[in-house]
Amino acid sequence: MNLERLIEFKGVNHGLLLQIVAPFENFNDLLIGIRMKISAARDFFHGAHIVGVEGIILSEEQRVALFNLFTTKFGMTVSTLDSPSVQNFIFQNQQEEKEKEHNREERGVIQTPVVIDYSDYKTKIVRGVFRSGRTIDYDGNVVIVGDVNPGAEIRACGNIIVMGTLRGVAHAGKDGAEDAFVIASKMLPTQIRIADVSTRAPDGDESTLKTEIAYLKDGGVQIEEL
Amino acid sequence: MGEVIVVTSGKGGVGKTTTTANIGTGLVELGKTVVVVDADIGLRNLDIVLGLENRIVYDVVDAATGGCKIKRALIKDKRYEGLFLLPAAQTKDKDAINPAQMKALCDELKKDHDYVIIDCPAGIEQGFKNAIAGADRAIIVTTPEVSAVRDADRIIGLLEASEIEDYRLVVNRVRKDMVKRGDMMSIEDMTDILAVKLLGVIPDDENVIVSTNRGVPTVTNTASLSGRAFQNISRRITGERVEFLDLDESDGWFTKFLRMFAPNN
Repeated sequence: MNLERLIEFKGVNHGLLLQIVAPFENFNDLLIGIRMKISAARDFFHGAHIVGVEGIILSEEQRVALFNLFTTKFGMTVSTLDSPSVQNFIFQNQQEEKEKEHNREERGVIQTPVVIDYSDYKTKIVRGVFRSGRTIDYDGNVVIVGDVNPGAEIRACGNIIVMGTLRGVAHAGKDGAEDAFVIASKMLPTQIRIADVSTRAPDGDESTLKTEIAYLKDGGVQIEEL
Repeated sequence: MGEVIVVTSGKGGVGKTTTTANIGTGLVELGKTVVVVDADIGLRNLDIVLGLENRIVYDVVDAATGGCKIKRALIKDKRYEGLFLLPAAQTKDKDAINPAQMKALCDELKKDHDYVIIDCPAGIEQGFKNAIAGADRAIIVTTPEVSAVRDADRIIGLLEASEIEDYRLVVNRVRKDMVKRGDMMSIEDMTDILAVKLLGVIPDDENVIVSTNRGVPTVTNTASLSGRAFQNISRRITGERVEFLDLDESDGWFTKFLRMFAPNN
């Protein structure tokens, strides 16, 4: 039986997933199949990155053997040999822990609007034109050095600063931070959203626009010169 | 080794097929060999605009899937030496080929011709993905309308994501009088939003409709402003530096004479 047919490599976001697609009699056959498949396209696999193994539950010894095969023999890197569903489970667990932490902090507070100080929070800086259809969703502040075209969406938990013309949609404080703001060199958005409030910028003479800031005041979005 | 250029837009009806036919013919008139490929499978038009629809036997699906030898599917235009058409299939749809097949086809075609120009269908789905698969450069066609510019912006984003970095803009159907009145976007407005280099500007011209119906590309008609605009674009594609046309030439001599006395007219 052609041992290569036991396995397949699937390209996913961050690297390659090893999939066991057929039943095998002993683990050594599997190793041979993998070795054959990679040897057939050695250049392609050199430096490749394994991000998971699917279709088999590996024992400790099997893990070691597989790891050595990939790294020592073929010069690849391995981030994990867990299956994607296990990785997902671990990730979900981590997320739940984070949520619980977050809630634990807030439980002591009674009826205060959500105000999170994002000035010390992490910031993502993106350069270049943000074209129609492109989106960014970030757990922090976002700075765009370039224009944001209509049809593009910027969503941030923190603040948004556009060093260019903002013509798309900007949503600052998306998880409820009411003190978040949006700044743009030219404020011409299709919509501005801060926390739960959304509005559109007033029509004005485009040529006279200066840098403006949009923020929440008395439950409504205020836009004024910076 | 030739170059593969895809002519795309996002929006439908802005002039991709007309542009493909005209710059293809324009390049041939400059002495190049050109294959124009109709990638709009299921809705083929390039053959009509070139006046070659009666000569179709095989099509791009046959050629890309190995149903026939590529050379057999190419239609040699008898009027313009060096121009070949690879027509689309009319009885299939855009899932009939995949990007890998298209790329292989383009790689093969560019061995024997100076330019391979691909007429991309409207949209961003499978047809678009197929059309750009083998491309080295892109020409984005748009009209001076907000909706067309929006779609062009999206397309440029998708081209950048596919690592096609050499792309330039053609603005079609410009009406200078409307721009002056402020009823139509100016070229500066468009290149500002799209952040892209300009390849050419084509004025709105009745001659284009006449020529597409007759199957004779307007680029061969030097009396028409649109014809001259397409010629200039063809020259720029070969690397020549050409001044942009003064679109006011569409006015008669008397109007120009009057303008001497009232320069703001």
